[in-house]
Amino acid sequence: MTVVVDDSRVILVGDRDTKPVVDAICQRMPVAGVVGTDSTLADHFPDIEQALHSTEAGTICLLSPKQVAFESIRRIVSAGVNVLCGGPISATATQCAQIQQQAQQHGVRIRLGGRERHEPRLKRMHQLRASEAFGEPVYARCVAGGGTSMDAAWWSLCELLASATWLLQSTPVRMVIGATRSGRARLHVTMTVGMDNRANAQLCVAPGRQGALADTWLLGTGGTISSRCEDGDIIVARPDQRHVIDTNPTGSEVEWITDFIEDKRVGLQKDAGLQMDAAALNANRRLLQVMRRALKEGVLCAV
Amino acid sequence: MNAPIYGVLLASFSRHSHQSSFVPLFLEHPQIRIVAVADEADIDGHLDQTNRRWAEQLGVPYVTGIDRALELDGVDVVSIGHEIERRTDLICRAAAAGKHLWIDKFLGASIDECDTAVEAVERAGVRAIVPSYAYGELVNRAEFALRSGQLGDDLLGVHVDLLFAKGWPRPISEDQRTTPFLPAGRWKFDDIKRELLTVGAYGVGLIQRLCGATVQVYAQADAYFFPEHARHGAEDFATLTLVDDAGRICTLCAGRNGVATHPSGGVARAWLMGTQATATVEAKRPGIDSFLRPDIIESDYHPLSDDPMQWHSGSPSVSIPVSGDTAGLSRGLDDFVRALEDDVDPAYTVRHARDNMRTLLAGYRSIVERAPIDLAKS
Repeated sequence: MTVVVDDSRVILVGDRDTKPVVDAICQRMPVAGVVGTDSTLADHFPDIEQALHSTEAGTICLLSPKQVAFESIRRIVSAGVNVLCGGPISATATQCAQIQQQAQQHGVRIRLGGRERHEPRLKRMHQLRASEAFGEPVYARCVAGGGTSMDAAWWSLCELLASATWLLQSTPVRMVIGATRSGRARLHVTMTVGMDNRANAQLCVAPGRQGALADTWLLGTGGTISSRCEDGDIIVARPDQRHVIDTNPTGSEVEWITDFIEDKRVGLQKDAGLQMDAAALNANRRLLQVMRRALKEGVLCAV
Repeated sequence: MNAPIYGVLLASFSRHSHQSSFVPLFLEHPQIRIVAVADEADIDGHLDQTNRRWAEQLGVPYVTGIDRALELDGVDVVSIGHEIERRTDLICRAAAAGKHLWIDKFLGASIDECDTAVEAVERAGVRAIVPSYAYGELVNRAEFALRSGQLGDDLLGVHVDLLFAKGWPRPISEDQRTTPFLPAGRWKFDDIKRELLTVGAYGVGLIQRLCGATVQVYAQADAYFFPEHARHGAEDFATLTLVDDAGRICTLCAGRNGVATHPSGGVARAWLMGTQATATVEAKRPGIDSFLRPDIIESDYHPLSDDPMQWHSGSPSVSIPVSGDTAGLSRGLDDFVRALEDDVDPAYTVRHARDNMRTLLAGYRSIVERAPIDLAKS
């Protein structure tokens, strides 16, 4: 008997840091279950295994790197469930090949990263940047949160790099990473990038959860295009203090998930870290290694 | 008791200096009096005329020969606004004559010259300030954010984007690009400034105020806005990444990127990464947004033909900072006068300026070598 899996039955896997995103997704689209964080808007499961047993999930969406291990992805794939993962996985080339083979056997799809191409502000910047008036790209400054753990900072750095290369329409040729921390959960990582079209990028992962801060600034010979974190927020003036309401807590996730379910490939490129591309995974794994080294030695390290 | 009045000798109005920007500050300050304008005998005719015009305008004598001018009655302070290559010598002679020093941006053209200047000032026991880096709105607001305590008990990093929206970029063909990159050392050109030095010094100054001593530097400068810079193989834009002695990571970009690319003449923004929170700081905020139709549709953004890189002119702005002195030079002058009265150092001394230059020079070396430079070992 052939079991028809409904790809749109989505399980979200998050953690405490991604709870605002999980809640916002649940408010905007039907979700079959939630793992790793609680939500009043969907059924909660203690772990991925339980979720796989209890629901007829079609897609597992991994929103936090904490839950992303080679074994858990292999388990999801072997259950015939698609994997949509917010960032790269720390797997060897052999492990990647195994998962890829398994995915083909079970007819499931895996996609890693690519959220930035669904982020409304970045999409708009990408459109504007295509104008002839922008001229030659010179520089991108991308700042985002994510430094709550080593893996989260790694995901954030990979996403910033993907954003910069997408917006600058270029390929990195030189990368230098610096990293520092305060305690376990306050990491700060920077990467300076030289591109094949002579453009430069400076990427900063701030301490704090991803989404708490997001600044992108593009500089071309014809001018600047920028998207600032404070734009779009609602400022509420109370008698004793000012308060800011973030109006866009999900940013890109709903569209990213929907497109995956519908199997759309937005601007898909092999080097963009989407799908289980072994070369892209190796490059991202290398970033993690260099990040760790920079943190340990307290010096700037070339990738 | 009346507050003391300090007499200032204006040493040169070189077109590469900000002496002309200092004049209104000196004129407005109740404890400063301009005594004379002076320069050496061997300067070019254009500079000589400029100096004489300023002296006439200010109603003070013009003296040929700095040594003669240092002997004038009433000279307490020398404001150094000469070419970068002449500054060390002037600083040393003025300090040896017991004069306090107001120095425009750079002490000299090399780290050896900067060391010589620092030694001369410290040996003479005079007070010297380099006012350009520690008193501006970006520093002021960043220090305010840090002092608020909301960022945590320490910083993990500081990141600065600071550009001058000046000049008129044009397409650059491959045959207009000179490679390899021109190393540090040649600063003076008729048509360009080295912009990592010129603009990057402000970003480094901010980082100096908030972080510790720089121990490692990495820089890049591959892209150009102006054919003039590309022809010289000398940067109009660069990035710098620094590590300080506490392991803080800092980055900056600096350069000249062309008119009409920013509502208030160029981005000046910093991110402060604290142990508890991150702050974003703008130098030109709070500001007033002014969208007056005639001003906008009748504005001419083209640089003046005799100042194509806009070294001495600006462009129309639609966002006007509330502060009339975003560079903070008047705060710097107040601090300098306080330092003279109390016989203490100002907030930004020649030693700070020397360290700033050391970081920038390491950046230039890094661009040439395409690798991080370890300052602790060099």
